[in-house]
Formats: sequence, structure tokens, C-alpha cells
Amino acid sequence: MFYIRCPYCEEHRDEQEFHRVAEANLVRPSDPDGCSDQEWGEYLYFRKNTRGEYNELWVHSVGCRKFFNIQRNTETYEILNTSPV
Amino acid sequence: MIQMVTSNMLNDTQHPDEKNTIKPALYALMDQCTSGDVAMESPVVHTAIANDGIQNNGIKVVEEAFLSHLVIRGNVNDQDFISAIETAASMRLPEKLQTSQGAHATIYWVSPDEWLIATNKDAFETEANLREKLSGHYALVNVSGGQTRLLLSGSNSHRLLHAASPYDFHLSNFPVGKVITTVFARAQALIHRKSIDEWELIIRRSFSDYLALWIEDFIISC
Ligand SMILES: [Zn+2]
Repeated sequence: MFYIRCPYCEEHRDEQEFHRVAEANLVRPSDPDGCSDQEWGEYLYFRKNTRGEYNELWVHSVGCRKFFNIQRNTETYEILNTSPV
Repeated sequence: MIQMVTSNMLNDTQHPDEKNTIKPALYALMDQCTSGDVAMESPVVHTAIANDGIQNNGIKVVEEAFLSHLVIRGNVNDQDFISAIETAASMRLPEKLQTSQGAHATIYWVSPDEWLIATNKDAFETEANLREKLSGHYALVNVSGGQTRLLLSGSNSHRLLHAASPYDFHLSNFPVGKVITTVFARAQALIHRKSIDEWELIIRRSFSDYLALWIEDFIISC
């Protein structure tokens, strides 16, 4: 069982209250009509699968319902930091 | 009854920063309880929690039916927004994880930009009163029909909470006046400590049948 600190509630809460959303800091192409299929496809479908430190977007879904960034180690499950989006 | 009212509200294409250039907009204000000949029914009417409630072994749960529930959202850094609500409600907006208690209403903190007002006053009038004072970028929704409030009390009330939720309800972590939204019997509840042995639970209508029966089952067997 994990306790995750929500940066908006500023408390540690049980992992049941949270959901993982996606890789963090994905940048949407500024000109979707102008970019290539490859650029758009990579933005839409392709994600890193890092072993080690990884930045992810999570949501405090059964709580304040805010999205936030979490920096964690996918190998050890250690949570290094959580921060507001 | 639906009233169309002109107000200084943002439309969908305006950014909050454009506050000074906002053009008057229309909003619809709907009275959800217009006539006396349609019976109102609580979502837990068929369970023991309705009416006098259920109690056993130092735990009591009773429904506080037909309160007016209004969700209000806005920017906490917008002083006009804060003062409009505080003037309309004659109450302070609570800080993070806190509540404020008035003569007829409780305001619960839900999120950094969201609060819930539960009042025994009429929802339509409360909403109209708030909208009259508010301007700019905000959201106000009457959710009275979508949820209900239960009052859990008794010297063993913490035992029900321990069984339902992973949260730490000890007084040192959960003082009187605090409010959280958390997992409750695998569903969700907003939980407010009203006094040492009194807890308000606000649950969704769609989960109220399941939660009422879960609570009933726990109380009977405790
Ligand atoms: Zn939170």
C-alpha cells in the first residue's frame, strides 16, 4: 500500500484515491494540420517506457480531482516528488 | 420555471484574463422544485437510514434529506469572487480541507477552486441570490438532486469509518471542522467532522442505495 502526497490537498492519501493518467509534459504540436503523420502519431500514441526515474501525470480522482505531476522510479516504485501541474 | 437573466458572465470563447472586457451574457436559472404536486423522494427512502435512522451499539446513521446542495467554482485569487460569495452567504469561504458553519448553511472546501454549499434554505433562492452578487469567471451548479447528506454519530462512529475508508480519522489528524473527499466503502464520500462524535457524509445519489445498505449491514452486525 502506498501513500501519495497530493500537492493540492497537501496531504498524504491512500493510493486508492489516485489514478495514473499518462506520461507527463507531453507537448501537443502547435500546428496539428501542418505537422507530419509521424509527428502527430508520436504525440498521440507513442510513450516512453522508462526503467528508472519517470515523470507521470496522475489525478487525485477520489479527492480534489486535480491533475498533478509525479516523479517516481518505475523499478523500485519510490516516489521522488509530486508537484502541481 | 426557468428564468433567463442577463449577467456579466464569460462566454465559452473568453479567457478569464479578459475580465474587463466581458459583455453581458444570459444564463438560465432553473427552479427544480416548481410545484407541490410532485412528491419529492429521498434516494435512501427505501432503507432504514431514512426517517428516524438506524442505530446499534453506539453508532447511529440518519439521513438529512432534501437539503439544497450547490457547487461553486472560481478563482481563489479573484477578490471580487471571494467577496461576492461571502456577501451573498454571509459566511467566510473555508480554507483548504476546512468548513465554515453558518446558521442555515455549511460551506465545504472540495478543491482549491471548488466549494460545496449545503443549506436548508431553498436552492432556487440561494442560487439566485449568489448569481446576483457574482460576476466574471465562475461556475455555480445546483446539485441538490444528485446527492444527499447522512449524519453519522455515536461513541463508536469511528469504527464505521475505519471499516469504510483507508483514511486516518484520529482526532490528531482529523480535528473538528475538517473535511475530506475520500474512498468510502469502495465508493466515494465527502466526510466532515462536525463534532468529536458527529460526522457528516455527503454521498452521490447513484451510490446511495449501495452505501445505505452497506451502512445498514455494518450497523446491524457491529
Ligand atoms: Zn488532492
